[in-house]
Amino acid sequence: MPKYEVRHDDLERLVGKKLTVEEIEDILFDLKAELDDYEDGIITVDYSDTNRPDMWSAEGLAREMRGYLGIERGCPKYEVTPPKQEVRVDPSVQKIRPYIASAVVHDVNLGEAGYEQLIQLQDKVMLTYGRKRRKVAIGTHNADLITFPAIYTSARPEDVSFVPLWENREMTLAEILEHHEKGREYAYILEGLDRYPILLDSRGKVISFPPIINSNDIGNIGPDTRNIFIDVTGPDEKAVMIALNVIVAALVERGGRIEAVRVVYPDRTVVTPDLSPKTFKVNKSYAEKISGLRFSDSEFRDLLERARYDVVRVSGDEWTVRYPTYRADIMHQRDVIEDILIAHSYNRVEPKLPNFMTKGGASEYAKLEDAVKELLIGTGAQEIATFILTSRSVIERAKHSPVVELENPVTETFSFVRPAILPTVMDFLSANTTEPYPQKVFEVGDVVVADEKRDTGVRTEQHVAYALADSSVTYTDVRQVLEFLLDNLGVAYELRANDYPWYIQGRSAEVVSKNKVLGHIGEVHPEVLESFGIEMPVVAFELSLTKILEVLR
Amino acid sequence: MDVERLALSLSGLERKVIRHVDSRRSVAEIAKSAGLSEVEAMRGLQYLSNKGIVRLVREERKRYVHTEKGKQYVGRKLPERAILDALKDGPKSISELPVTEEEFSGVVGLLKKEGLVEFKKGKLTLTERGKTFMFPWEECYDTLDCLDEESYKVLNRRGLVTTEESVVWYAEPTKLLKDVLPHVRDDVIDAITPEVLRSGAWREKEFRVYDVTSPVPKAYYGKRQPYYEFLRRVKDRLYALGFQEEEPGEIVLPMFWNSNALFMPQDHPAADIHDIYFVKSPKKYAPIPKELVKRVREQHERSWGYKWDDEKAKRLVLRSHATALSAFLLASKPKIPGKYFTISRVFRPDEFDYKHLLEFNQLDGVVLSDDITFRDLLGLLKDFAREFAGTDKVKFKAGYFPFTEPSVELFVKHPEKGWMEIGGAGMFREELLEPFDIHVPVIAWGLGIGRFAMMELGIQDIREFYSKRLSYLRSARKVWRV
Repeated sequence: MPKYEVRHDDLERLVGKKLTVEEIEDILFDLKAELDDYEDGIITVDYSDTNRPDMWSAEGLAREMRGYLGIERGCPKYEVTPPKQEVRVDPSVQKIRPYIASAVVHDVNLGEAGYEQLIQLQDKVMLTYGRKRRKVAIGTHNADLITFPAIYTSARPEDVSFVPLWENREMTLAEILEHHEKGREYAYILEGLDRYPILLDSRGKVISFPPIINSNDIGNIGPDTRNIFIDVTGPDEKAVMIALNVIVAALVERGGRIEAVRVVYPDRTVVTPDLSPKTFKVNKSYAEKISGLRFSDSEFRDLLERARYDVVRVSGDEWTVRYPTYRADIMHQRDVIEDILIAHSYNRVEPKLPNFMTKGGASEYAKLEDAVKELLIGTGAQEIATFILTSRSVIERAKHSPVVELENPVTETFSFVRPAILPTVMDFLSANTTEPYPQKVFEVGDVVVADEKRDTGVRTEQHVAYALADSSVTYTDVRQVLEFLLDNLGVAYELRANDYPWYIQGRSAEVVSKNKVLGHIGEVHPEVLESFGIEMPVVAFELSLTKILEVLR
Repeated sequence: MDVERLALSLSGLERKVIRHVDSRRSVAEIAKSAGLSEVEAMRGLQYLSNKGIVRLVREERKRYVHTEKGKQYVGRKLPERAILDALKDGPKSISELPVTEEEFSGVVGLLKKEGLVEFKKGKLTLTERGKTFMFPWEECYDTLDCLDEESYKVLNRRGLVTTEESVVWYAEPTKLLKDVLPHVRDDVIDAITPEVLRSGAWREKEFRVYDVTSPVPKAYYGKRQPYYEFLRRVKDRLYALGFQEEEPGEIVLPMFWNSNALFMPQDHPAADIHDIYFVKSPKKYAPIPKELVKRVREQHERSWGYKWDDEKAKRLVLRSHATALSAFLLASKPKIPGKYFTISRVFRPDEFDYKHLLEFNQLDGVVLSDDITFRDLLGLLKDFAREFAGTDKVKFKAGYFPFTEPSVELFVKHPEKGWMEIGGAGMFREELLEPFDIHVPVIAWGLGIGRFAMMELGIQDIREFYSKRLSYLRSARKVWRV
């Protein structure tokens, strides 16, 4: 969820209305955002939608608020003057980072607030919508310092050097990737390439090294920069065009005039940005079916316009609407319907309850689980809960075999999925050796066991493990519990002598029913007890509830 | 308590000692005359003292004891006696005396000072006084029970005797003892046994009266784990609201089922290594259903405009959200209309602290019906707020989830904490439903049960849900409300 800061007074100026913090908080809530913090006139906005980069700045927010408040209606119109400048795309860059979109915005009045917003917006767009710059990278430059046409080409890492932003010496592209903060952060995008993308002006001066860093000379803009050249690069032309639209639309809010740029690819020429609105068809009856609300035509039009759509044509039930091209998220009528509901305000929708009856109930598993717990509590045992994630050490000290290991654990303590519950129960007992005995505990929960027959090689099961620790416990004590449990569940079973590494040889058995091995029971081996620091005999059993359910079905 | 009843409350031990406290006596003496061990007598007296029948007095006493060196003369002659006796036969040179040189030098000064011996021609000779003289300590050296202060000083200086501090308990009668004593009977029934029942002894005898208010040792019985108990109660409420619980699902899944089948694009920010656990072994990849994948893939490429990568979809991960189970539900031809829910464990690489766990339970549900609407969704959420947060004060925020549109977040007003988010919901996107051949609106919702549980269980640290402390589990109050 993108979080960004706006100045209270700047937002008011952009909206064109005085608003208290409380009023802003309420409006944000309706517009998919939360007021996360307010301090010294700075509002921190937590905006939910990762598909609305146009909303991640004071300018975009203000534009939407004007619609919401009815100050302005319909799809915003943008005038774009014909291109005077050119960006020429060299064939060599097309295999690396093929697309570029550019614009020049004149007479921008950024000031401190606008400058902050522009930098912040670029960052947020590149991070979230741009997938950490892999999909979209943006550069903004002082247009007056560039000699056009600009050349979007590629270069060997050692062949080009320039002074990158925040540095005072020339560095080669390779050096930047190795030593510059941004270079190190984003080098992964260029990994394995022998040529890197580079944007030059006609004199051969470096404008930027996308997607890494701008030049310190012509790349550097400030609060007073009036004419801004923007380059957006990436592997997805649509995303690149939308990101450019988001930036120029924000600059228009600061008084900017957009001048298009001609992008000359080897095989075609594209004029960017393309800000001509797109059209989309919405069925009013569908909107009513989904929302559960009834709309008169005028109401429907009003909501659409406040959500910043133009109504182009109404033909029976079908409404053709126009929406601004900085919107990246309109894929289905549903997206428009949500905007209509937002303009209506969710909190003015009257809730109702579904008018059909359903019978609720527990899953088969939950019924068994509950019966098992009730019976085991009847034996005086305390239910415990341990984590499903555990360590190799816990599994191996309990003489079990690891099954699922994680690729990216946060800590070694939680780097395996438990293959059984007994190991984590032993770990539990090990943490409580100073508590009064007897200790009778049990746990019911998920485990992941090996299963050759499954595509994944594993299977999730639900198990129960029961352990009894006291100075004089024997196999008989735990076997009585097992029999009590299975008899009451109505499971016909037999015990077959069988050895397990974690039980004393000759004092353990497998529990079998209808030729399925349900689990095992025995006296825990002193070696296991010792490795867990337990100086008390422990007897235990573990059963698969998943298999018991299969047997009972 | 009246004295009769008090007398009837005396245990066997108390009855045995009470008659022996006729005056101030030491516990040892009482034990001896009552035929009990000192520990038993003390316990009985303590019970009596608790009831105010006797008074226990603690006295610290000094006792003379032999040192290791002094012990060797017990039952034997002390050096001074050995010398005096030997000299009765006539003068002797030092080497002829039956003492060691060290013993001799230790007492010779003493013997001379008292004028008991003298040296004559190099030989030690007994004086007249020495013939009959007795040192005051000689008589009680073995028992030390009549040792006077002066003698002690001498023996102590010689390293033969020292003092030991000891505590002696005395019991004294109180006025109450006198009142109670006439009522003390020996023919009362202590424990009710099969023998007592069989013999009918209870008909003739009275039962000893217990002090039913005195503390007893703590005992621990079986009960549910508090957090799991809380979850069970949540489920009960959902059953009552007409929701059918889904059967448990797989924890290890291909990314396809965890995310992509829910219309989450493969390059979605939440599909990152920082948000999902990837499986290293036993397998990294698993095949995915061809026909369904084809449909999902086409849908993604059309809607999100990116190039689908089968390898990414096949990558095995740990279930990262309960909505993953909804994908299976949709694929399993659910009943329409129908209401389903699940509480399942999900796994995310996150911080591990008082606010975050690496695995936690999520409550997720779906409602499928041809005539279900956004209004019904809000109605359901309002119902949940009432049911789980006990409030009608709700606020809806427009939300964003990749798999729902419209999307909404549920906020409730907490009396102290103000507005807080307790759930997210929405209507599944049609792009998501189409590949499953589901053509009715489907509501999907999730509630933040962790937050409710923390409030209900009164805990500040979320790790307590899985507390390893048996003492906590044994002492935690049962989760219930009238």
